[in-house]
Amino acid sequence: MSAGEPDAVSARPIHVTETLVADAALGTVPAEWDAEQAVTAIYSTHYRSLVRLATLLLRDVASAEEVVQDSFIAMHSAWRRLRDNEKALSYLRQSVVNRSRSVLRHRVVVDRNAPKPAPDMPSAEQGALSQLERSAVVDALRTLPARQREALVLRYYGDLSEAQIASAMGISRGAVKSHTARAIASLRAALEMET
Amino acid sequence: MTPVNRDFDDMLRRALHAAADRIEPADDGLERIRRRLNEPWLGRQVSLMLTECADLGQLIVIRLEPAFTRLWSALAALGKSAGASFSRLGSRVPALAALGALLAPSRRHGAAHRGQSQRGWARLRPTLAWLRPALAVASAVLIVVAGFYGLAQLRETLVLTLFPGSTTASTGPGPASSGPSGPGHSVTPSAGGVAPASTRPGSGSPSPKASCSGTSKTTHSPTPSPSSSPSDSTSPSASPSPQPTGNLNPTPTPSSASSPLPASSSAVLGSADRFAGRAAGGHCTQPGPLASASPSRRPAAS
Repeated sequence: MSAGEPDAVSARPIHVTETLVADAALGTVPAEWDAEQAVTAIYSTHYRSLVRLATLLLRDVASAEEVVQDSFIAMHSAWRRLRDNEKALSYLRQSVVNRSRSVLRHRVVVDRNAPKPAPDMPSAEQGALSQLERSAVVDALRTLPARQREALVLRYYGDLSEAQIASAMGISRGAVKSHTARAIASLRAALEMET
Repeated sequence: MTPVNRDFDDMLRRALHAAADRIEPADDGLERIRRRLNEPWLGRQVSLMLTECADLGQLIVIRLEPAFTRLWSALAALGKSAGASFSRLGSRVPALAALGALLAPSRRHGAAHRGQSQRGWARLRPTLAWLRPALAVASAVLIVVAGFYGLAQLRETLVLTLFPGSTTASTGPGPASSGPSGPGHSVTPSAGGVAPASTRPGSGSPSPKASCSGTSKTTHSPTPSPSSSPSDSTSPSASPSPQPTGNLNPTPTPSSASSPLPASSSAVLGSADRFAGRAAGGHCTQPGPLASASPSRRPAAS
């Protein structure tokens, strides 16, 4: 099995906890890989975790899959200047975060202008939320502002460093620190109020 | 970090993983990506543009629904007043009388409707005043985006034609950088210089700065392509890959003892172990990834 075969990584066990940190073995992909092979290899290692990350941001699996697939297509187009797994993963994370923001923005506008549903009818957001496991933390996370939620999800689900979070969110490291601190304070207050 | 904060961090991490790890995406993700990739470039761009336009149209319809309602009522009032005018003229021309009968079913309220229509237009004018600049801006954006895509493709084609051996890594952003992914998609070098998951504090592992990812790829590659060296030199990402892949670097290193690709699973298993350690103990003996990655990353990020 050589590193040049992207299908080789698909044999990886799927029951382990995945993170969004780049694998060391895929840190530098072979130069002869074309975009198709890179997409296949990175898909097999990171697609699931990226979808889960996007689901935490969007609270909707279908939208999350669409966002991640769009990001993979964008990465395929940009592969000629990426040519590196770490860069590609960073690009994917940025793309997922940006597209999730767009989806949320679009959803806010549609929700604001959509006709009010009947009181006994569950809203679309509740339907989407049913796909995520309902827990106090997830519910409290939903009440946070978008940037704070992104910072928390990237840090505690993606296990990313401050620099990686700053790169993915397109903000400075200081802003990441302040967003994270505020988010933790809000989350702690919300959880304490609940208990 | 205080123990209380550490406990809270662990709790948060466990809760997020527990919530998200139950999510299983559909199996046909790769097929869908490939299907969309196999579409011709123009078709893909057109479909993207159509999707965006459909979204924009939906938003415009939603936002302008009250204005549309008023517009329709004003048009109806205008039609009635026009019908009344035609009916008045119809005393001379019979065809106009028939048209007036169609437009204004009741002749009695012609004058009242005319005044009402003028009031309707007066009401609508400030509402629709912003539509004109909005349409102008949308048209300008459309033209700029289309021109940018066209120029980027043209430049790519020219570069590939004139310099077949070169890559576009050093020639600025390619077409995808300006695509729907937005402006925040430029990959910064700091993102590349981040410690991998397997880099743990206290393990005595050397700093990832000592990795050989940048130079070893160019010097020891069995198929050295001239295109790989400029891309490495221009982006000093210092990619922390202390164990280069076997077929890339024939020089045996102690860390390359592991098989080339399953090392990904070992890295993932490493993170799983770390997670399991956090989850089981609740008391982290090793600092979080944030604290662990910071010291070794600072030089690389600069």
